[in-house]
Amino acid sequence: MTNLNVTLSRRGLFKTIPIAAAVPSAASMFITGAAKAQEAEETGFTICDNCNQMPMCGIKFQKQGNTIVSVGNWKEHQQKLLCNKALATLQRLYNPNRLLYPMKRTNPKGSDDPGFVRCSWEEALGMIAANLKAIREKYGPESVLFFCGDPKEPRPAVMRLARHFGSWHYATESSVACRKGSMLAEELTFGVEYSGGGCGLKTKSYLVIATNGAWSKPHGWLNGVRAAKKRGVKIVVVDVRRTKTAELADVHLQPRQGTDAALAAGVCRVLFEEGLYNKEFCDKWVHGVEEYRNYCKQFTPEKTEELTGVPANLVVEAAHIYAQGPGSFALTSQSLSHSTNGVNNTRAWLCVPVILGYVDIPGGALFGVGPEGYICHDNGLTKEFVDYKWFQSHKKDRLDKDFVPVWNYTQVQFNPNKLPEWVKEGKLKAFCGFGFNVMIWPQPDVYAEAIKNMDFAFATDYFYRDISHKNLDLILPAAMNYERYAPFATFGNKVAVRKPVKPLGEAKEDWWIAFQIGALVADPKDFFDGDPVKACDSVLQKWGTTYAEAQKNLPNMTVVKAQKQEPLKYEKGLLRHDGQPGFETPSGKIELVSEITKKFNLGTYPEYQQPMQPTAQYPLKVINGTRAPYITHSKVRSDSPYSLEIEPMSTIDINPKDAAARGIKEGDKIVLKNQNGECHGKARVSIIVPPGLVGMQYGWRGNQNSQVLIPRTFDKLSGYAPYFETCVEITKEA
Amino acid sequence: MSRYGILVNVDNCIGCQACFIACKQENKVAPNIQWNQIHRNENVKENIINYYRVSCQHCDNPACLPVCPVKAIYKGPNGEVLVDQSKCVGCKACLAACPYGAPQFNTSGKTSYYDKDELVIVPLLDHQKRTPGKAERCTLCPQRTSKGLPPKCVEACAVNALMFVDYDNLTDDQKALVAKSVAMNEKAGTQPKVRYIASHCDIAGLADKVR
Repeated sequence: MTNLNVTLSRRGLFKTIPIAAAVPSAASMFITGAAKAQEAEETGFTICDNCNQMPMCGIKFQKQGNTIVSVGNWKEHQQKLLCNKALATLQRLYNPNRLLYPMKRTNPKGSDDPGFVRCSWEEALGMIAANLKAIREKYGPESVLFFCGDPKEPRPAVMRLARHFGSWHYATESSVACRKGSMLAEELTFGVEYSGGGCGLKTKSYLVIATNGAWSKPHGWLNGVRAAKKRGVKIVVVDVRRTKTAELADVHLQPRQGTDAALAAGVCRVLFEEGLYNKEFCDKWVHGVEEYRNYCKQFTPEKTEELTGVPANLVVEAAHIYAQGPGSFALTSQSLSHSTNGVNNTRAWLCVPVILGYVDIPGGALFGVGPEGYICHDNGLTKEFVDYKWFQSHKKDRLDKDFVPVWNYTQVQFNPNKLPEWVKEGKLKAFCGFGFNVMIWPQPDVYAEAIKNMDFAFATDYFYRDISHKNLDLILPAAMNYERYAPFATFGNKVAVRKPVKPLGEAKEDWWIAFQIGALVADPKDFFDGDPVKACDSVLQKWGTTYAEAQKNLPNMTVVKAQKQEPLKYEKGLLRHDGQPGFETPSGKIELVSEITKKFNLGTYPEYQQPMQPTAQYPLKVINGTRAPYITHSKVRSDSPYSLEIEPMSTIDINPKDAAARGIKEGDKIVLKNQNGECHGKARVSIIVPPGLVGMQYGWRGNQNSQVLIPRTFDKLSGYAPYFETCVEITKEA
Repeated sequence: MSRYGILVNVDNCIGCQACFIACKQENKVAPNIQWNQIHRNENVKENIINYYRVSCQHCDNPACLPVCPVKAIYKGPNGEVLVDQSKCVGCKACLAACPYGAPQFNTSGKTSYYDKDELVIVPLLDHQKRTPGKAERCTLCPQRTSKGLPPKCVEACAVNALMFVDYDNLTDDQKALVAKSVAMNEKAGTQPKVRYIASHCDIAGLADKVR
């Protein structure tokens, strides 16, 4: 790290940086109870950031002065039914362990005590700018890795910062794991993201693919599916677990973990061979049908049963039920892609609605629409805002080009999963982490060590996180969801803006932080005077409104200019850049045979690959990263201690038969072990997992950290680790 | 007259814990003191996992009330079973008598989740003021019901698993639901006003206690 006596010219620094000497003490900053009691209640609005965010559920709150006293549903908002995670954000806001001031380390990296002490924003930003500029000068801009973890909110601002700094190494938690593996499957198939939808009034059948929406989606989804079931919609759920969603199914297909490509091929075989598929649609709009059909021929119901464990009759019944369309579907955002053949497992399931012609039809799932340039996933806002073209033009320069060529070819986000190797090779020298959490990675210590070995590293966050932050040079306090303006939420042709409170301490919006850094390392004119609202306005004005106008409309959402939602967009040239009918794929059709994977010699259609197999030594398969309804696994439970009260330690689902065979009872302390590591937890003996499978959440610290069980082996298409494939043995703790 | 209660639709409950958090926040319930809890009961034969809320059952014939040596337990204006903490001596006789284990005692005296003050100290409202060590449990939120609002847990339930009812003024739909409902641990005979609708779980035969 370059330590400078910071004598900034202030040319680039925007005016709103507080000077340390002028900062009052914490005690006097916060409204006291006596003062608060005299103030009238007012209403504020914000957006929850406590799950995977893109639901962007609206929170209405009551405040007295700057103090929020209660939170509840924002009923005019598109996603208005708050779950307990959203309710718990209020406890997080006033958690006294919050990071409220910039902190710099005073002891050498690797010290037991990093010796973090408070510093001013001016010093912190100066230090960041000096180091990033020095590293850029010496090693090139691409040696700096910009990374957004959790929450997703800073992504547009940080991607813009990376762009103007000049580094194409911009990565996110979604390019490590999570959503983008499934999205890659969607894009290979359809050319755009397309993860399905809910049930409309014309829907007759519904395929829920590997998602327990009851616990992972906003509650409106479950209510919609229940209503559909009452209307007579037939439901097929594919899930290795017996979830509350699976309980709604007319047919629940419960394959052995990781065998989905075989099961989907088995279902497709029934549809093909019984003539139930939509031949006319396939002939006109689908590429590689005959090749995939020939491949599926081997997956007779009996063979499918042998490979997947799903009874042959259910394979047939599921195909028959779903063929009684129009059918809709809901695809997992994560689970399927978290294995070594994850992208192909996901692609295989997408083949089912495709060959039935359930693509963008009335009663089916529709392709998403939005205002011009809007990127639906990961809070990307617009392509123009983050300069997609520039990132696309530098894909070939990225370090992940040889590691994951299909990913590199299709995604603007860098896949950083070989970070330890690239740091060792001297190719990445600095790390700018916005809300990053090393617990997202398999073998997290390996990644923490790599970041430690970089020349300079900083993070923004809500709290000090020992395992991620211990060896950083600087940690910056990020404002929470109640304290920020950017980004706003977008739903089709509506946007929801916020009416926040002021941040506590010296916490700042991560957008502000990114813009301040941007002004110091690049041209300040690209960073909106450091003002997140002006940045939002740069987008909103093109959509026909402004932040201030939208605030005036509160509690209502604001209608903006957007593409009209309508079915059969591929017939009307609405899905391709050139306005021609068809799909934005190399063949112009939906691709069961991917011309992209073919180009890189990584297969054609989504082939089945036998997953890692249980052994005598490690006989239980693990799904590491299931969803619980009260926490998202990449979050830290102590942020809202209510969550810890619900689940005080890592709780591992184990089937009653497997538990009995090991003398394990509900609540017993247990140890999971395999060739990669071991972790501890508490048993929940439950039929939610079938025999031979155990499930838990990662994110627990210390000896409960289950990510140590996961090998650094990666899906050749996505580069994702096999969080849902590894095998272990479980014993009762001595 | 009114007799307030809650119908718990076990078939709809997904165990999301929104009611738990909502209660904690509304009533500023101390760490590890839990007025309502989500319990799990697995029907292996039918392959169904049941979740349901358990709390003070606000019995018409409460076992806790007559055993209180200092007459600290009383019925509220709408049949709520409530504790007058100014009288309670923390003897736990009510806990011993309650078939549902509902009375909670904050014997640790801990009222904060942290070892230091929260960043903002919000003064407690009257209904949030309690003395550690004395009996406390679900109140059915009189501070809300008196304003025409449902108890906070009911408001927070987004999946139609909790319904606030007045047994003396039931709608026709509610009457049909009440007719289908059962009391937990029916043989205890305390006539709870928290009742359950469950297709896959023998709630009447369960003797769950608030842990």
